[in-house]
Amino acid sequence: MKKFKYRNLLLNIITVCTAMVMLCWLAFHNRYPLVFNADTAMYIEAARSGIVGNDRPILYGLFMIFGDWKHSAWLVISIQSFIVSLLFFYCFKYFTPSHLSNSLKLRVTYLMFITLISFGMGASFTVCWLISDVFTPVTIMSIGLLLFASHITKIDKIVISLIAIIGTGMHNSNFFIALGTLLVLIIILFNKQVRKIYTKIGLNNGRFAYLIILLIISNLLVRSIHYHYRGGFQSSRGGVFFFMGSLVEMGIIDTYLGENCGVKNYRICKMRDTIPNNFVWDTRSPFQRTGGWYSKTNESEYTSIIKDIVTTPRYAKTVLIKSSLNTLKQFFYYDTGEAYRPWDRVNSAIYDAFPKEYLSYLESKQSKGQLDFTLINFLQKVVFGLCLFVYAIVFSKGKRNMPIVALTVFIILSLIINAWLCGTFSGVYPRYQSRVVWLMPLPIFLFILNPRNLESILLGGSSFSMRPNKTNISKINQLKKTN
Amino acid sequence: MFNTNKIFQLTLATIVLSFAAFNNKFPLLSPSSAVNIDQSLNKIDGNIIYYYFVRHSSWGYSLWYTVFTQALILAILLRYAFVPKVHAERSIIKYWGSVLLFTFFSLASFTVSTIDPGAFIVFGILSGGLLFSVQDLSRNDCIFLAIIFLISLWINQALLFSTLFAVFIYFIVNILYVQLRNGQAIVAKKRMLFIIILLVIGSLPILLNNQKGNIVNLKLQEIKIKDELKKRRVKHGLLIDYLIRFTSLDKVNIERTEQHPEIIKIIEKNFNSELRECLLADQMYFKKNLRYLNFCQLFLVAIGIFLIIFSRKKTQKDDFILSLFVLIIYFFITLAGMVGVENVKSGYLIWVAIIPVYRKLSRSYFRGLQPPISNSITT
Repeated sequence: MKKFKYRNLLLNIITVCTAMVMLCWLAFHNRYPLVFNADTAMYIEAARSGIVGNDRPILYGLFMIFGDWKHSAWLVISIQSFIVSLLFFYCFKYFTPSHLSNSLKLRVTYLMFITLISFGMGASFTVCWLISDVFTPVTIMSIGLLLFASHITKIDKIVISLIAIIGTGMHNSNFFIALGTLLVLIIILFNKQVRKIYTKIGLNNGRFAYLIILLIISNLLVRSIHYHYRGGFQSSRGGVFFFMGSLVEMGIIDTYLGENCGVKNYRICKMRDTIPNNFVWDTRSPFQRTGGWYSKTNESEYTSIIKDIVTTPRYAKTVLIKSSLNTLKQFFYYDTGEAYRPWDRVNSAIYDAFPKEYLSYLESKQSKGQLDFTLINFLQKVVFGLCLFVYAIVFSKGKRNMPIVALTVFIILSLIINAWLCGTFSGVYPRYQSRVVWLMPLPIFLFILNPRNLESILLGGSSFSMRPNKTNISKINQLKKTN
Repeated sequence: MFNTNKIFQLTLATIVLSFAAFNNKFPLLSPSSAVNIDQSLNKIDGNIIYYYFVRHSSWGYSLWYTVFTQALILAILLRYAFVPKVHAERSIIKYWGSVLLFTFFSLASFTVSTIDPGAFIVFGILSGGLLFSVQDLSRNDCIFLAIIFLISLWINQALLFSTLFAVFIYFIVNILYVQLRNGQAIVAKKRMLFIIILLVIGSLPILLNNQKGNIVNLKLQEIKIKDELKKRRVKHGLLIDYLIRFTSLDKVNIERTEQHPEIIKIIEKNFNSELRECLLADQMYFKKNLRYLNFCQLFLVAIGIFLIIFSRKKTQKDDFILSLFVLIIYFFITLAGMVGVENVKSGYLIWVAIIPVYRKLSRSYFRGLQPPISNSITT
């Protein structure tokens, strides 16, 4: 028995490692991990100087520095890739019937899924990118597992919880995406039918409480780290500036200043004809010219403008319309490939952090501007369309394999919340959605792993929840008794 | 009175069909968009009916509303085409299959996401084809399709002339069918009369053509055709050129807005609050690469043709009528495009030509959903 256990463990490790290598294919193709202008540099600079930037948490920078103990960016992406592969493996392990959990079928399906998202979607790109984006899907997956998977072993639960804590703290948006998704799931609890479904899949208040505690721990961890680095006991930073930038892109600031500059004496009024579209990052923008991230006057002035906009019905209505539109735009704007030729700032940051690899970095395809993502983007659209089609079929059939349906709803919900948060409070950029869109096929692969699900789709009828939980067992017993 | 499920599905389909606009971050703009948004720029070249459509559907506030309206019309038309009233089983699979197929594997989404009268050629072909072929239309359905068809006729004169030709062909087919096979007419007399009335109303702007209104300027069209024919460099001979156009080998690419500063001026003037959005759109700086989508669309067409040739399933009467209508119109529109009357590339239209094939496929795939055998006309 023990022999079998170790054999299975070994096979599982080999499978996860294979997936890890597959997820890194884009870095091999590029001949070096991918960088992003100029965020990669900002993370490295913050971690090396020990100064907490106002626009992002320092945690990812520290992760890069911690990971580069061998002075290699390859290690950073390897860890990223391993975390993603492991979480996907957990999904396959805990969302399929128990008799399949150590089977060859599961491993093959898992590797097929990894192949699809690596070569046909943007997963490999996100994993091989030296920025914190990969931790958004990591957060979503870990929370999904903790919410819906049943019979998780203690060790696995600890590992997933740790990943959830760290993942949530890596980027400003992750905490809000996780919190928003949980809140929506809690709010819909007031519906009687939803409560019934929750009971069916064994989702109880304890799980919600556990996850909220994890989020609080994560937030406190980030705050403490920032405090340690003399950045104050704060976690999310720069939110006002990002939202201001988004309002500029929506065109609301132009209207607002046009109507209010005569009445209110804002500093920005003097420069309102020269506000660029890229309000936050353009060096010529009023924001950068008046002290940028570190100006308290900027913060108070923008806060007052935003407050006025949000509380005035006329502007609030426009914000609401534009926010909905931006959510839709962001949801469908998931093109992969924001790996342009690196700026000098990124070059020098890579030189400082990984001096031994600098030459191979300069030789990379990205540095030479030779990367082309047209085919991947097209394939990603095709897969996205197919996923929507399968979802439509599954949902139209009524009763389905409930835990997987719940996971599907959870993934769609988190994708929508991600689109809403980023589209409304930061602006519409492809990388915000391309980092999570490859989660879409996951429920489909979990679904097809169980042949009864396929049968029920093709022939009609409904399938039963795979992993028996307490409620199901009691229902089965009741049925037996009545028979 | 309202079916919530249907409304929900139509809303979702509208959103999905607007995919290309969302993916661009702003409605797609063609070189002629400027004239269609603001007629003060050039009264002669613009299409005044489409201009009114843009003006009203945008509510003078946002071009997004125009895109949503166009997408909604297509969503409804696809519903008419793929979800029959009598055999509505598995309608969700049929409907969503069609919506997602045409959104992600063809240029349908690009057609409705562009501020261009070209979208109405598609609506005209579909609504006209459905009016011809679907027998069990309710009164409301007929009115809706007739309105869409009429607007399309007013916007595209080539559609009007090609529909006239289609009616003529149907007359002949009807006569042959009744005489040779001793059967019922393939298009009912009442329906034919209704379409003829629609054509008469549709041609009113031409019949009452006045130089002041410039709704349709025949002289201008004549000059355009002559100019186009003079300018044309016949590379492979007229027939080959036409075949290339007919088979959509003239691939579609989305032009950069930056190259057409007049569009930006018009947006600034008419939709000032959307100027930043327009400037931030992908189309502004990048030429959209539709290489793979063009190939994919051709592949879709090839599969369609393969299915027509090798399918053993019986072709239903209404599928046959719809196919014939769509092909006739497509033939004429591409011809009109070649001589410069219509400024629409066949790549934007070819996906419509294969709708009947996939309609037939969606019906015959699900067992027990075929109409009675007596209804079939070919084997």
